[in-house]
Amino acid sequence: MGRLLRLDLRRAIKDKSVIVIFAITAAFAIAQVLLGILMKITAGPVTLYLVTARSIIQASFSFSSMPFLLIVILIAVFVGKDLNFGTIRNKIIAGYSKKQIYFAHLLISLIMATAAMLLYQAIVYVTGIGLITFPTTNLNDFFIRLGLGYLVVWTAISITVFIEMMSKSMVTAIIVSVILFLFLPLISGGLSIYFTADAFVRGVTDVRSPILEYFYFYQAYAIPNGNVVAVILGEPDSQLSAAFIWKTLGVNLVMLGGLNYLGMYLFPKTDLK
Amino acid sequence: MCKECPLSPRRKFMSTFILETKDLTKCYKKIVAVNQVNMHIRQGDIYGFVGKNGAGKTTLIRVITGVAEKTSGFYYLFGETNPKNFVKSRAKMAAVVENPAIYLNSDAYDNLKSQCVLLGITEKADDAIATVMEKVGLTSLLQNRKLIAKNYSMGMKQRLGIAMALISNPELLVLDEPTNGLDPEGIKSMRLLLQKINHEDGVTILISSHILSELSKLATTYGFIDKGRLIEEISAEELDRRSQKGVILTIKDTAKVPEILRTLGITSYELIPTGVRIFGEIKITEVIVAFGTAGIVVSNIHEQNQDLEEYFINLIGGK
Repeated sequence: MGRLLRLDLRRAIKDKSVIVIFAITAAFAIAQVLLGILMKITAGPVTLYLVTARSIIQASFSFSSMPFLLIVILIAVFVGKDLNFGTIRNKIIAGYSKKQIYFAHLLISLIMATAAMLLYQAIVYVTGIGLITFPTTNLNDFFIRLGLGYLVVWTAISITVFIEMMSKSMVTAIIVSVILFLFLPLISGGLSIYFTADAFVRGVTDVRSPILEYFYFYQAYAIPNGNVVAVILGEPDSQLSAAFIWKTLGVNLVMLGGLNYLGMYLFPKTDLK
Repeated sequence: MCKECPLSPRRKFMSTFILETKDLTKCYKKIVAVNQVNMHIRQGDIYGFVGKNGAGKTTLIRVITGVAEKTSGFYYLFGETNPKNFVKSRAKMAAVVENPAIYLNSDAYDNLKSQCVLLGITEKADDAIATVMEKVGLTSLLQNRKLIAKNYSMGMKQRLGIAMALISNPELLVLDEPTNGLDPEGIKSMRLLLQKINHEDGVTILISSHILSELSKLATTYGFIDKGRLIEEISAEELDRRSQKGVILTIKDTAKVPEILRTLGITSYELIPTGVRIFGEIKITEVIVAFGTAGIVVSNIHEQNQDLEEYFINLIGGK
């Protein structure tokens, strides 16, 4: 198992497409900060930045964000090469089970996704901290969002790996993942507004739909964006409730465990190309 | 009886076969690609696997290498009868199935280095790489590291694929159409390489090919497959004997045949269920007259002078 991981890590370090996507992610982080500097309102001596380093970091967990979509493509391309080149056959013939191969692919994908996300966020933090404000209020909430954000991203990456390993197609994995990740959070956001509209009309700002909170795609929307109603009212940093945090933990851990167990159970029963 | 296979647990210690299949079947939806195949490969064999395109050669190789899952039946690797332990048994095997499985975005050295990482070859990996590259005649690629595998010729890719297979020092080497894309010189050097590793290193080889003239210079045993069914397994000696120039006479009663042939001075012959097969140049009229005098009716005369290709074509019914 260790050899499989070493091999995939070796590939990742030497793979030009991986290096290119990491470079694009880094460049995009700098571009985001530069754009943030431009997006300011100046009233007399007061300058208000509409975008902060914190909001950029938080938004990177959003499924419609460029860093996240780049990461999905990165994973699909990396895993896809093993399938397309047929080198996955070498692993089986070398005496590794399909279950081990699936697990190694999953683990390396999670490591790469985390590394790419950390790189993006670190660059935003380092370049943006002095230039665009990084509010110190609700820092606890920010770190909770960070932790939950990574959990949600890992679940998303597991979905991409599952689709790719089962379909044995890089193109299918990219298309299905992008459609899934782009549209379902949007639908969740729309549903959220629909379910909480009454409360919004009554002037209650911190409202969430208790049913939607149990859905992964709602969580994927709510964690980077905050409470949708609060966002509309210009309070993107409103604190996550304890109930929501637990629901997010529970739903993601169940999905992570369930999906990866299913993948490791089904993949060995399939034929390779 | 063992739960996973129809053989007794003791059977595995008695097996002389490095690879054996029993009623092995692989279906793709309603298409039966491999149909109840019983294949036997002995240690030290060069097993020539012969069949037309789509006969089931690659599918069977994919199943025994673990790339595809069987639908029914059994196979045994290195005497191991329990499928749960096949993963370990497969480590003694190396294969090039269909196209060579290489990282096209890397050069030859990097591909072999990756294979070393996978196989846990840490000490003297570079020596092992140099040795296999010399074996397959690709030493020059170790000097030219700017050229990545994507830009190699098909022959170079095939040889690199075989180098990657050989680096594990396998006991069983499975090659699916390894001469694809090779020029005549490449085919010859491939044959010499395979003969060398078989004779010197004792590597058992399963090789599928449709270049039968080449296979006939290499194989010690043949397996003929058609429409998913293994229709015959035969040793090279037996095939040579059957392919020897001569005639087959169809007769009902062969009791007096040895005596008649002896009086004619013919010693190279064999009695077969349908009559007699006489080898070498003979005066056929003399033989038929002698049989007629003895009251033996010859109902058919068939001249035999076939190579592997003709033998195979006759075997599958001249299709």
